[in-house]
Amino acid sequence: MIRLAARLANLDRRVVYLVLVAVLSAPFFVLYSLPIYPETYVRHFYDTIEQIANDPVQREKVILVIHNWGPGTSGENAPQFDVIMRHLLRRRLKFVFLCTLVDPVYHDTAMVAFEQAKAREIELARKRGQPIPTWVYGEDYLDFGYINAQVFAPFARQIVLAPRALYRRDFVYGRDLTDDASFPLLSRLRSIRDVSAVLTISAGDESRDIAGLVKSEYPHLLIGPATPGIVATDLYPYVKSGQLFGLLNSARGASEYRSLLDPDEPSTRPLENALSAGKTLLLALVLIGNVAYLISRPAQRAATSGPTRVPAQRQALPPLPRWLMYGLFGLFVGAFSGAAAWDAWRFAADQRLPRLRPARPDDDPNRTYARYERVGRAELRAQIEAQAEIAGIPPEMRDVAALTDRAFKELIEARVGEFFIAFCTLGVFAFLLGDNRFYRFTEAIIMGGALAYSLIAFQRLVIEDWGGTIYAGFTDPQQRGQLWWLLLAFPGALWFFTYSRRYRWLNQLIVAVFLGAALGPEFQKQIGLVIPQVLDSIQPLWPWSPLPGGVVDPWARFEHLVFVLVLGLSLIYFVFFFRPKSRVGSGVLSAGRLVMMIGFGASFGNTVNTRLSWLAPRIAFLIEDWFGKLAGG
Amino acid sequence: MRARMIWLAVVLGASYFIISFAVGEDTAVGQSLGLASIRNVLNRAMSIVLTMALAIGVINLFQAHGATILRRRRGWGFSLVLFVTFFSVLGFMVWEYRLERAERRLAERTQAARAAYEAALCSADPHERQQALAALTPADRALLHEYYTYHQTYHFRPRTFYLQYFINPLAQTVMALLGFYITYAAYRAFRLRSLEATVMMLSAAVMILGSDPVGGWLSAAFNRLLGADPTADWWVNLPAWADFDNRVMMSGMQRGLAIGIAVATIAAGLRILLGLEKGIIQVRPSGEQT
Repeated sequence: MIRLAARLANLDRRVVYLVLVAVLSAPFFVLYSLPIYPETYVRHFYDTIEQIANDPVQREKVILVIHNWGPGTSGENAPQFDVIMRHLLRRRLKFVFLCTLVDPVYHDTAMVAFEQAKAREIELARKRGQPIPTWVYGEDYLDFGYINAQVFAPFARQIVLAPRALYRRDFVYGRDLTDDASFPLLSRLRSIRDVSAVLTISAGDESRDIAGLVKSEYPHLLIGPATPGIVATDLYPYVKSGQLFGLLNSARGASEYRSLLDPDEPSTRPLENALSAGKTLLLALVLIGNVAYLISRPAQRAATSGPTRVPAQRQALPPLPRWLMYGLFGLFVGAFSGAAAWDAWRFAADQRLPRLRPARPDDDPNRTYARYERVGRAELRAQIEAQAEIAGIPPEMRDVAALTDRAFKELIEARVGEFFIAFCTLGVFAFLLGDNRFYRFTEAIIMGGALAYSLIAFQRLVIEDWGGTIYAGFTDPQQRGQLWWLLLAFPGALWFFTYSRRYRWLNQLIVAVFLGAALGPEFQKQIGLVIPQVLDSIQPLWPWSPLPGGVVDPWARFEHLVFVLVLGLSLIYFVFFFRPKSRVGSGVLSAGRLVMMIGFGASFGNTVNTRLSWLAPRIAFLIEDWFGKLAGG
Repeated sequence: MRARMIWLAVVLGASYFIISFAVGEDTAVGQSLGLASIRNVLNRAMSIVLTMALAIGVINLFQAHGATILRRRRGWGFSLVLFVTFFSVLGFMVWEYRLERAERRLAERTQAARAAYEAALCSADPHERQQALAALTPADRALLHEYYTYHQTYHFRPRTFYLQYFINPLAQTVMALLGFYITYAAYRAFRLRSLEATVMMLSAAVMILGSDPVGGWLSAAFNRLLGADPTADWWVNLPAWADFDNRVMMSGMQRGLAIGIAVATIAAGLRILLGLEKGIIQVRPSGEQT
């Protein structure tokens, strides 16, 4: 028993990984769904957007959507972005996209997700028998593109108060944003008074910077963040104080929002079930580890001698033998090539390709249909002919043959792409077995590609924007005044002194300027953030004293009482300059430590949400999209 | 002297923001100083200068991996893969850039014809509509045909393909590895060795289960077992407990931390601006990378 417990407390990490993959995969084979319970702050977020949509004055204003997320956090940000965009599109609210991260992958990823959100709304309208909605670029929404504001705080005021002057040209057509005539939507966005809300869907806490630097001056400004769980933990106090109007925490926040947005689909999907299963497994493993630890601890404390020998804890796990690694790799290559050949052979035989099966009006609601179906040109053509409307193409201009050909080639492209994704995903997962060549190969692809991709930003911001301004200064006499932008060459050149042994300190100068620029707004930001926090904490504690709206809610007051207790104990714990000698003083410190542990526990829970939200979609892709299509749906 | 210049550079970088905070952009003094216009120019300049630093990444890549290939160091093959990918993606970008430029030109060229055509289509009166459509010139019709034919034809977009089928899934999968690590780390490290660890674990368990649909399902099952009325408030309500844990317990602790961090940030910021933080303003030895 003790030996078994000791073994259970020291399972090989690869066994744990394997079990995790199995558990995450199970919900894609065993279909079920559970009801979703939206969190309070998710409801606040949804209700605020609804209020804006229902208010005739507010709905005419523009919403600024700051989307600073990319592939790394797309497990959480992508579903958040999807539901928020679908809500804005459905309620026909006007919005503007802004990105402040220099890597173009971030911008482009969000725009691909936006197109998918539009397609989903069109599909939903078709399914519900409603007219096909269309949205016009420049009238309903605009894409301002991206700038390089990796350190967000120095840019926060400009981004919210005067984004048109900062971004200067729209991303799609490159038209002048400072000119109202460029797009009809621009005449609605002249100052902050024309902004109904700022939504930040990001991997960082930009919403906090905006709350500290802008909201303190413009209290009417509504700020709503959607962030990964690890960032959301920091933002909860700001929602309580009213500095933020709601919060979408992690992928679960997106699921909860979806349950409010699509009340006819209020339960979970296989991906969400996989996430649940992963979290449950994590807790089960912690439980197993602790039970095993408690059983084996007495024996481990007593020496290892005696009738029951407890295996010593393994310090470092041995790497897999070389033959096994090569064997596994060979198996992978064989299986992967076989799968690709099988798929290609099937395509050559019947000229049909797998695709997501769309819902049909005559579907039986009590029957579960295969996720994918195989279609050929004939089915695609019939479908296109049956469609009353196709977004962006007037019926008179429709060329069914060309549209069929496009749809078919897009299916081929997607299927080829899925094989690439599967290869890359398995290549990165190979690292779980230890460092190996397959992983390093995929790592080299990531690094080379990412760097080349980032050069788009260089071309856009330095060559087109800066170079274009200087070129205009030289060629156009009216733009001569713009020639002073040439001076930026000096601070820009300072970066490159990092390669000079003698003048490396000059590089420190430019780093110091940006350090100062990051530091400068901190004073205003911290003061702007903390004062409302303190004011929110100083509220009546008596349960029957009315809330700011005049409502008497003893439960809300009780929550506030607990909140203030936790806050006080946390603050006392951080007062380092005295050491209490009385029993009461020590007790207070112990209580402070305990409430902080409760808080840290909750933070850990949010971190688990984040990490597993990043993993589950990759497993979902392998099982549902790649293998699912291979197996015929 | 050099240290003082570095310190002055820090102060220079911070000066606009401090003046703007002290004076206020919308006050009479702020408006007479043109603080809003300065902010506008400053932010654009910062964005451009920061982007110039991207070139350092390319130079470093060429230096490090180029040397690995030239000297046939261990793993040089992977450096070669890196370069092949770099130049392939660069090629993809040029390809798609040309495609997008052609599309933009087509859109601009056909804009007037499309506007007239779409206005005609919007007309509710069929007679008026027919008249408006008949008024389109053959040149307009040719432009419209060209535009819509282009948009109904398949075009391979290499940059989008690379984004959707390479870099996105790769980056996602790298981050997904953390899901494995946190599971194993929780299993190995989360031992109930003290009261504090136990409290933390319980709070984490409530949060993990309660913030998930499985928590609602478990709560319903418990309540059924305990004979609670399903229409009334539940006795065991993990979603509500998790909500409370987030909004009250964790939020209270986070606010305490935020207040402490704010005070510390202001103090540290003042020390840097006053030149008291020697670690930041000292000149690094020539061999040390910044």
